[in-house]
Amino acid sequence: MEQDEEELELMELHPGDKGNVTHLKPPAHHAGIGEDLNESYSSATLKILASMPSRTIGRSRGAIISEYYNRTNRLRRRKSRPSIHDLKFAARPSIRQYSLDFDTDNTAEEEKRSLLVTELQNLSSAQRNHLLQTMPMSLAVKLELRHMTCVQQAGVQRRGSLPCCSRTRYHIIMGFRNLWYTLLSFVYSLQPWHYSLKQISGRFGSSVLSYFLFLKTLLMFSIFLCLLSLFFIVLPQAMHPPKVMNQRTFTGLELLTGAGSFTFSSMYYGYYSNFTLNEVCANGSRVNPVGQLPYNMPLAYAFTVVIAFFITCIVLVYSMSRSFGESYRIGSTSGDLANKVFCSWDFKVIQRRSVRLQHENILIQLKELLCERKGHAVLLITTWAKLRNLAVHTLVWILSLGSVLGSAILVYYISEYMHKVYRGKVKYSSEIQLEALLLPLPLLVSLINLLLPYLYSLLALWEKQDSPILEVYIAICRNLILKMVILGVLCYHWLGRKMKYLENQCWETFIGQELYRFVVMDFIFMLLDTFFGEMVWRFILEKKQKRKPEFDIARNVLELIYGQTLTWLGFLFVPLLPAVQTLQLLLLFYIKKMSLMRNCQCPSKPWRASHMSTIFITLLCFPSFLGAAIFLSYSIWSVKPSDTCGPFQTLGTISEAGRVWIQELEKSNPRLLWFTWIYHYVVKNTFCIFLAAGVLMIVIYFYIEVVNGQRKIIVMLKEQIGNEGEDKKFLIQKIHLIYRKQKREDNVGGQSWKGQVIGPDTISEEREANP
Amino acid sequence: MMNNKSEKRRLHWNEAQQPGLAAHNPGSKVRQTRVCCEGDDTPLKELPLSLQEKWTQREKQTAEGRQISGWDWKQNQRLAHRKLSQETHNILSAWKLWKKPLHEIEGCFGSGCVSYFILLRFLFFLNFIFVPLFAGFVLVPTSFFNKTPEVPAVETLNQTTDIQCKNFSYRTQGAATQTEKVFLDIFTGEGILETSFLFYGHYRFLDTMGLGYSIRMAYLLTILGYLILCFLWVGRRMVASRIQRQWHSRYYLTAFSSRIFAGWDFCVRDMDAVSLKQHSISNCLKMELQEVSRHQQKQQQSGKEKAVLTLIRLLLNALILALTSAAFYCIYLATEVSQDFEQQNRSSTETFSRRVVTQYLPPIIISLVNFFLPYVFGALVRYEGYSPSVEVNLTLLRSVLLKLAGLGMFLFSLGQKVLCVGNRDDSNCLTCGYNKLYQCWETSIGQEMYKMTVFNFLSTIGVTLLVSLPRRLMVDHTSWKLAQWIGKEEFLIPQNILDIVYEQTVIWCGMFYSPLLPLLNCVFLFIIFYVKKYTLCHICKPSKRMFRASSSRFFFQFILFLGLMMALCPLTYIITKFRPSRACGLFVDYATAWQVVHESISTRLPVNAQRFLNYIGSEAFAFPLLTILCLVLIAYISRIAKNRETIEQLKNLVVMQAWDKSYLEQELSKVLKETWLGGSNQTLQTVDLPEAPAQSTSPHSSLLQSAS
Repeated sequence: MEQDEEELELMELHPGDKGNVTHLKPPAHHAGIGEDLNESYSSATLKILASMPSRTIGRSRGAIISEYYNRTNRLRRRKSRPSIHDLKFAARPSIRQYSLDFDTDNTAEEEKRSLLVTELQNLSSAQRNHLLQTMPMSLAVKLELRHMTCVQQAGVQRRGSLPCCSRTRYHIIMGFRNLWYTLLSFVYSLQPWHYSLKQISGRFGSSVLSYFLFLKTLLMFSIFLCLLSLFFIVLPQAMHPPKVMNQRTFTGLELLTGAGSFTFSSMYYGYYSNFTLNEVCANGSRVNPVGQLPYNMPLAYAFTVVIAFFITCIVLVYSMSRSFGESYRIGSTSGDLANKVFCSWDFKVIQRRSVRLQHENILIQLKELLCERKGHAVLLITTWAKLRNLAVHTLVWILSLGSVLGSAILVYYISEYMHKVYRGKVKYSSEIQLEALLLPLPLLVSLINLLLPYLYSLLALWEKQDSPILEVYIAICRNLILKMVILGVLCYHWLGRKMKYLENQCWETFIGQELYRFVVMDFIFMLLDTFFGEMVWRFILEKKQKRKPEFDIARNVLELIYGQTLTWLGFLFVPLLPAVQTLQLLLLFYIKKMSLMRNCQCPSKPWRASHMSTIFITLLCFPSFLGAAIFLSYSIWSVKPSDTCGPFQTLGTISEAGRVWIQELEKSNPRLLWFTWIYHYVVKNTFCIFLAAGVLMIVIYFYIEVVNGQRKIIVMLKEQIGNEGEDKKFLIQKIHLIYRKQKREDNVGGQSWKGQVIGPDTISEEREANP
Repeated sequence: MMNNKSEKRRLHWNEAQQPGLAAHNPGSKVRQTRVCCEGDDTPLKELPLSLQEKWTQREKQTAEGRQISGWDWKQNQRLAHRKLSQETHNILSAWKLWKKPLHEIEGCFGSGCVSYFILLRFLFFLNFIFVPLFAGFVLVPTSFFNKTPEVPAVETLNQTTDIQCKNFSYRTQGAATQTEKVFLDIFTGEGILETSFLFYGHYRFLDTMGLGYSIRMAYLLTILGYLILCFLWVGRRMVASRIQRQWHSRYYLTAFSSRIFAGWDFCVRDMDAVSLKQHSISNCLKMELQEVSRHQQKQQQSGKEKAVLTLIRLLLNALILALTSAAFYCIYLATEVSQDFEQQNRSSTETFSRRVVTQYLPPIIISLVNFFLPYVFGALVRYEGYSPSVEVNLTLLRSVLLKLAGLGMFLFSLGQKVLCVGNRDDSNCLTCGYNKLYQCWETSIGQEMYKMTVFNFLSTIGVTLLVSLPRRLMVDHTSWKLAQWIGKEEFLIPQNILDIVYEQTVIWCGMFYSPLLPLLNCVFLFIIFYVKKYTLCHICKPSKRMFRASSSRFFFQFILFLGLMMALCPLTYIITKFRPSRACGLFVDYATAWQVVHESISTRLPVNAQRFLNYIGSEAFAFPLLTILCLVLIAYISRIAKNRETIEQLKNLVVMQAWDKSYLEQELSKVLKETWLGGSNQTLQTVDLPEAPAQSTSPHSSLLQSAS
């Protein structure tokens, strides 16, 4: 919820996305008329133009207030009864609904304002705040309105012309409501990092903010996973601890390696038992105590993992689709000059230097846009230069892909080698030495992850892509390929090879430990990167060029995604890994923030915040979550769990837990026959699923058609707006002609005003369209 | 002000008469350019221009084409391609069945009536396609191999189940004469028909079929494949029934202006039809106005009134539910009685008529229910306090549900009787896995479906000949008050459409058991087309109520789809779960019919393909598929929501622009008045205001043009 609001702020910050439909390109074939109209206008014409409704709407406060009065009214009544506007056949695009009065005098405005205030009072506080926030009026007016709302509410309480009984009831209700509001505001104040986020956005703008918001999102995911595993896996098991054979002492190296005394703790898969927990041992056979629900540990384990993934998937897809809809809706015109000019200012930035930087940013963007407008024909590149460019690009790609391949092969062989060494030494080395042997592989991987991105950015410097956006995308793409390939190799290493070698041991625990090591190592390297890459680099740069390094959003975000992927991969084997991740993210937030404040300056690359969050979420969803889900489902459905430890010791695959449970249920509980029936006919019998898939396909087809229809409608509406604009121009020209004629007849040399007059009145229209 | 408006209109009139001036105003220029831009990809037919403009445009285009063809190869190619596609389209459309009669109907009665006939034609094709498919894959191979005489039933009947389950013999009619027997056979589907290819029982598995061709697979897969084809086709039609525009016109069209400006059906030529059309439009407008006022009234209703209304609705719904369940019970009873009668009196000599009546009891009851209950619903719905359009739609919906659910009830009771669904412990059901009284149960079900189809057809013809025609004659040639009071019958399109959709559902349900039913239906539909055309043209009068073809098309396609689903679900259930009869048919030796597919997959295909198919069929594939589809769906839903927002914003903009324009118009008129009063007549000549009045309604009108 809170996050939503912040994202909302983000969105609104860049109205280029919301309001980009509002801009109209002047139709090309009427450029001639437009030029005609640019000639001088008489003062009378200008007066008329100045008082045109679309121009005055921004200024006429009464109009806004009355419109908002209507809107509030509608909002309030929506629940109780459908208003006349929701009528099925109501004439939708009609002036009726927007009946604003322009020439309202002051008294009328006062009246309307009081009406609006009363309406606002009847809304819930959240709605009221939202409405007030979105009103296109100055802050002072908003403050005044809010103040009036509050005061009058108090006044209502004091008035007390009610009968005694209902008055007490009223007071009780009001008391409860106040309590509720204070509670709500308390919750609001609990929202983490509210102030820090504001600070960051104030200094660095919304693009850097989006990194921290993403971090916060990941934190939420981690906390969610952590809570689930804590409540459904760890705590029940902790209440019925199994016998642990050899308890080792804590040495401190465990924090790095995850092995040692951690091995037989509730951290790893191997610790959990494979029976119903709250059964009582009686005479060798386990008996379920009466009156207690049996807690079947394997089932709980499997279900918790699967449900956690499912919910995560839903949340991810929901947020992704939301942001997708926002940034890829039909009719979005990202390359509009008007948008850039009027809506690209980031109002969150308050620091002077950042303001200047943003200034420059916008300037650069405008230049780029203008360049694009002029067309690519302008920059004539010789064939030679083209060839050279092509060669450079291919070379760079070959280099980067080669480095990816090389590192993958390196990881592959090193992992094999380390494993051999480990097996060789397992007999005659101390445990600490053995554990230390486990560290090189994560070290290597983290090192690769740290160094190669720098190599890529160097290559990008050499490459010199045409547009900075493309550069960013290419950088993201390369880093992503690197990380995914390495993770893929590691997954193969774990599931394919380790499993075979570790036949008699608990391979799940081992993989869990590996993942733990990776997570920890990744964190350490991130810290190092922050320290060296940002702090030391800053000292160097400040000495030499009097500037600070930029905050590289893409790389940092990819690191976050990598960490999150590791957590998801390890969730099945290390139920407490999300907790580790949560801690790590918390620390990371403060460290990154500090480093940012101290060391960095605004990024000069043109980032569009809303687009960026879409990309982040998509990256999180697609390679990362999908890969983790595939890994998980593979290990659930087709890998045999180890025989000696863990909740699924006796089963062929983890997914058999459900089947076994169903069978048991069938035997023990004949009343739940419907449940097994559902299992057999809906889950096992794939026909139902295929039928549902067929129906879904038809529904999707239907929606595709709907989208096409919408596209057509949007095109039509745009065309219509264009036509209306033409008509307007025509009318204005006529008026102008008449006045000129009059003037000529009167022989009065009127003053001539230039410019500023004609053309689509963009500002006010945009204001109208994005309330 | 008024004066000024009329002035403008006059100006506009002048302009229209002087085409030379049109070039000066920007609106027409816009139009011109648009035409030029779009002329390349959209056919000229669909451009919103007047006929004359289109003609000139076409001439221009052809001239251009001739000019261009000399040097521009690409253009030439494109033109040739377009020409080719047009030609093929023309040729194909010439092959379409009933093109002329459809045009005639459209001309006489408008596009509403013709939509019924188009649906009929579609169903005809749908049925017709099955015939060559089935003939090619099943009939021809069977009859080809059938020449080698088979050796029937030499298997040793050593087991008791075999003895009990395989003593099937074709039924012999105990009735008297030969002709009577033939008639009886035709009506009941027994005797000669039972031993024909019409029913499942006649198809035998033949060992001689070498060459790796499995007739069982062919039988099963042809029918299932055809059903899936129907699923896709009907689904596509359902979606493509101009739904996108429908969906959105509701959001942004205005009721009255669309009726006024775009409500006319330009296909209508007949004078009577024209007046009818006018009436229906005016009725529509009245209804809409009424609805608005009703809505306002409803808002002022007190809580008490609302509560009373809700109570009444609840009661009436309960009553309707009770009536429906009573009807279902009747259907159930009828099925039971007719089946019991048939089983008990198999060989006894019953009279001809009695047998036919008992055998046709379920279809008769079902049609009676479907005939009377909608009237009752229509009467009851008046007390529920809905607006007229909702009333009509609700009644239609209820009758649709009744119809489909009635058929479902019939199927269920048949299943209970024949396949022992629900009462497995019956003494007759224990040995064979189905009721042993029905030795060849597939054929029995097929016969029931055959009877339903025949009865539906006969009742359609019968009603036309025996009720509608006499009524018409009575109204035309007598002057009885009663006859005049009854009046001519109205041609109710929804009811007629429901009838044929229902019949199609019956066909789909019975296809597996009686594979030649689609052919039969083809013949019936062919006859029904002419009967209905005659009825429409000569017996009935078209309905006064406006039937909007475009808006209702989706509904009827949806019903068709629902019927298909209703046929598909029990069929797959039966194929995958029930034991085929052991005495007859193709799947004698199998536990379920679907096992054939399993068997042939495991014996004939290579291992990898097997594994692949197994994976496709398992839940490991199905669940991810479902998930992915859900994701895509969610993405689309969110996109649609966002687009809707965009549309809202654009509409606001349009309103804003219109506002500006009207303001400017006012100003201009003020100025004009001043100059007019000033006496300078010359100014008026220079100021031509052609576009403004015409375009001031344009927020609606141009949208309408493209939406309608």
